[in-house]
Amino acid sequence: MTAGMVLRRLAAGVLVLWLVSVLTFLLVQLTPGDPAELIAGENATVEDVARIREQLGLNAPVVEQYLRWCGDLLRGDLGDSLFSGRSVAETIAQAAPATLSITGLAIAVAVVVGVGAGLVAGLKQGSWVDRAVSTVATLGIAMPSFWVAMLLISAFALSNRWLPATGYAPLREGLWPWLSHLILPATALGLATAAELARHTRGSVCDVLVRPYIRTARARGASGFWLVRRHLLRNAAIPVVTVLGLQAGRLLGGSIVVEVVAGITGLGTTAINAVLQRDYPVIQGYVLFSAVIVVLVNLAVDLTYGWINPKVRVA
Amino acid sequence: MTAAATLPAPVRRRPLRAVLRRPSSAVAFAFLVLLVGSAIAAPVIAPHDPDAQELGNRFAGVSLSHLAGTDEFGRDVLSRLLYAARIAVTAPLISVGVAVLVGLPAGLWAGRRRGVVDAVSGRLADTLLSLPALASALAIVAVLGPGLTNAMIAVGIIFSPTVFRVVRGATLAVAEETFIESAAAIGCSTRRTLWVHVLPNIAAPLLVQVTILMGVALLAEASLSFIGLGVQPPDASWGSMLGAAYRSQYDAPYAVVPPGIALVLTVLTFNTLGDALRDVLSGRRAS
Amino acid sequence: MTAAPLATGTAPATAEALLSVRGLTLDLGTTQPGLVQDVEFTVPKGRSVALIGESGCGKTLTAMAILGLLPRAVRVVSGEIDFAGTDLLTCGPRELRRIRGGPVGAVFQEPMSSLDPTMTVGDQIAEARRIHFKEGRRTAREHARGLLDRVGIPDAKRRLDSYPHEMSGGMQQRVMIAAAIAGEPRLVLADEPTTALDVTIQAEILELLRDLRRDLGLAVLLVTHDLGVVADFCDEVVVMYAGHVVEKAPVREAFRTPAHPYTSALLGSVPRSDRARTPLEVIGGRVPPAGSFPGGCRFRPRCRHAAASCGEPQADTVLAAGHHTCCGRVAAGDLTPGREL
Ligand SMILES: Nc1ncnc2c1ncn2[C@@H]1O[C@H](COP(=O)(O)OP(=O)(O)OP(=O)(O)O)[C@@H](O)[C@H]1O
Ligand SMILES: [Mg+2]
Repeated sequence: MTAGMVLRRLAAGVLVLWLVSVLTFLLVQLTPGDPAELIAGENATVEDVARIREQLGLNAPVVEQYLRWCGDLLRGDLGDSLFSGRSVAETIAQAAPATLSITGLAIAVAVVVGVGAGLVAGLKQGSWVDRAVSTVATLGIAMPSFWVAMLLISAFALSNRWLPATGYAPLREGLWPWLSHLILPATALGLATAAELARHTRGSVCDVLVRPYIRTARARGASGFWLVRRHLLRNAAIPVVTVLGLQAGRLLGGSIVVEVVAGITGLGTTAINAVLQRDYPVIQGYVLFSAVIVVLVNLAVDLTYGWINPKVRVA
Repeated sequence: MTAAATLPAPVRRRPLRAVLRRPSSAVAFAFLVLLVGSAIAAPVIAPHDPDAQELGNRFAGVSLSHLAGTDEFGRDVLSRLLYAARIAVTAPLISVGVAVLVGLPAGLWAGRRRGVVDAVSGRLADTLLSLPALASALAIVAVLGPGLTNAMIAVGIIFSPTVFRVVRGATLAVAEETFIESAAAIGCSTRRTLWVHVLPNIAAPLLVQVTILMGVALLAEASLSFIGLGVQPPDASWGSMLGAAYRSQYDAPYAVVPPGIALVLTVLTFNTLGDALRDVLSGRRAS
Repeated sequence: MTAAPLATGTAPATAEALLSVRGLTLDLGTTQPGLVQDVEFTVPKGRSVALIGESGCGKTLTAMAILGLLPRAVRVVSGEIDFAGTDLLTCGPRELRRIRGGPVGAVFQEPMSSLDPTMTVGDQIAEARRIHFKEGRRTAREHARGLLDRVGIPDAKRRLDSYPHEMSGGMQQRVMIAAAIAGEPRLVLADEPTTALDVTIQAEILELLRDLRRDLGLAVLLVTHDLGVVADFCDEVVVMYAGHVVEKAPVREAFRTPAHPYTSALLGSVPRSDRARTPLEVIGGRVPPAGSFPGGCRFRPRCRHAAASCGEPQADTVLAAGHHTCCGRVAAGDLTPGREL
């Protein structure tokens, strides 16, 4: 992938973030009625409402509000929580590691399980393995991740006390404490994506296997593991990588509910509380942060795509 | 593959019949009928009032009077499941309705106008799609306030770019075909062209998309109700029942099973029907 | 194409066979008649044999059967494919893998889709060396560079790291050839190696194949529908029609005295410079789709000379050394071999 392409992708990402910033900003503006009054609640005094209005900068004209908001944003200032009074940036920085850990681990689980199962199914087309994979994948797509998380926790952490049922341990406390808290929620979260990836991988493998270049490779004596590693995997991965990019957002969103089940205080639980309290700055910060993550993941996916597919590299 | 399988399947005149000819989708359809039936008949067939509390009989196991046991307030689980089926059917309809209401006209418009309109709306749709869906839904619920209807409207707004894309794509494809041009030539107005010529042609992809979105909407409803932003007590949806079961999992570890299974089966039904419709309408055969 | 200068002479019938296919029958596992039925021919050491016939005659299937790379749906019913003493139909997958890309190389039509788009051409050429000679990356790469040079690609060192889509069709086909000879084969199967290329490039590729054949002493089985190529390049020709071998002959004889109405009809449909102004004769009708082959001589419905006896199974008749026909009427003397057949 050339520098020009990377720049173009970056520019597209920045455009998306700008659009998201406008939409997020409009969140407050779109609130029916006076947002300050709504936020302050029914028993608020006039002063309370005035304070909130001041804090949200609602007294200035909309354009000025937006510009000021953007200026703060660019300096990394997302405002303060209307309830705890802590800075939103700090709140998010504190909650993000847990959420990003679950999401990242879920992606890893999804890729390993999904691509592995899809590969085997594609290679053994029509066999019982293939049918089993497709059945499990169909089920996996239909199962709510938080329900799976409850079942897993109930089986592996409550009935058998093999793993902790709730909570989170940061990575700096060691790999195992971190992993043991995350493995169940991440598996639950990644299951649907694994199912999606398995389906796509299988289709892609079947498609690639009948391509003439596979026949050519076989005619050169390539077979078995050699053929899979050198000819099949790369070509089959090309469409699958795109799917993975689309799934990143789904996983990040899905972690909201899984966090609740796993009793992990992450972005999800922070966001839910913010919604219940109408803590707009926190919600805005959460949405923006999620957008940044998704844009970054998609950038990484694009780069991977260019690395896998040489046609894109020069084009 | 036999030679016959590679021949293009004939265009289906009766897609529903073709869908039902597959065993898997016939089962799915039967389940859907059962579901809608029990949703409608819930007041008649439910053995108890779903909200009637028997505090002396909390977390009761399976018995003749409570076929699926009771919950943390001693309410009959089976009756609540049956009443929740009403939400399972109607809530996704709200979301899908909103999505179609927003996405269909926008897609038609962008597909017909092309140019700047198309570029801008396309960019906007891409942006919305790239956001984590549940996060956006949360943000919208923050604006509208919690509650089932609001939550499902939020989900519908999140879905609208998907519908927009499908409609826009189909409109572009249909517009390429000559009969649209000839319709323009004989002086059909743009609006008339859209309604009479374009709409019937995008019905098929839209129907497929809507069916699949029903399942996704149900999952979203369950998630939002689970975290308390959707259906509000004392009403029950399968998602909120799961939430209650989660909170009492030490007292009643198996309470998570019945609503979960109801959810999975229903989502599976929508997905199966959606896949079958897609195959049939695009002329593919069952694999 | 110019009038055929009948290059190499008639093959002596005694030439030692490198590959011999006997009674090869392939079908789809249904009750339909075979896609390929009782196909029989030999490729002598160091010689070049053409397999010709219209589209859908079973040429590619025959070549794929030799490599053990038939499509899943296609089943071997019977036959023997003897390559240097090994029966490729019964030898088992290990032996087949040793032979594929080693003693038997292959070049396919459409180099663009036959080369792996995600692998550098250097790696693809080196592949056979790494698999068959267990060479390391570096040694194999050195070999690949030499091979690129050998097939006439300029600036070989830099080109090693190119991807197929960065090359022209002709270059891609040169890469295919380099990869096919990397395993030091004794036999190369070339399935329509020039069909997808421009006419000028076709000539260059054939020239390259001819040089390699001479220098390396390769035997070649060339699948083609281009009779110009056959005349130019091959020693012997095997004519297939609808899964049957209808005629086998040294090239010169096949061109002078074709002994099957189908061969003669094929020859009639080739533009010839000495008859440049006469309209091209084309064979009426098409090859029937597999599954609806008639009994007896499968060419019968399109043949000018069809008679009642053609409905019977046709026996293979030897007319002269190395010249076989399946036409019962020629064998019976009703028809005289020749271009006017
Ligand atoms: N995978 C397959 N499944 C079913 N039938 C097949 C398959 N591959 C080939 N056939 C049939 O076998 C017959 C012979 O095919 P083949 O590819 O050998 O023809 P060919 O002589 O090489 O033709 P061409 O000049 O077009 O390459 C054709 O009728 C074709 O329809
Ligand atoms: Mg062929």
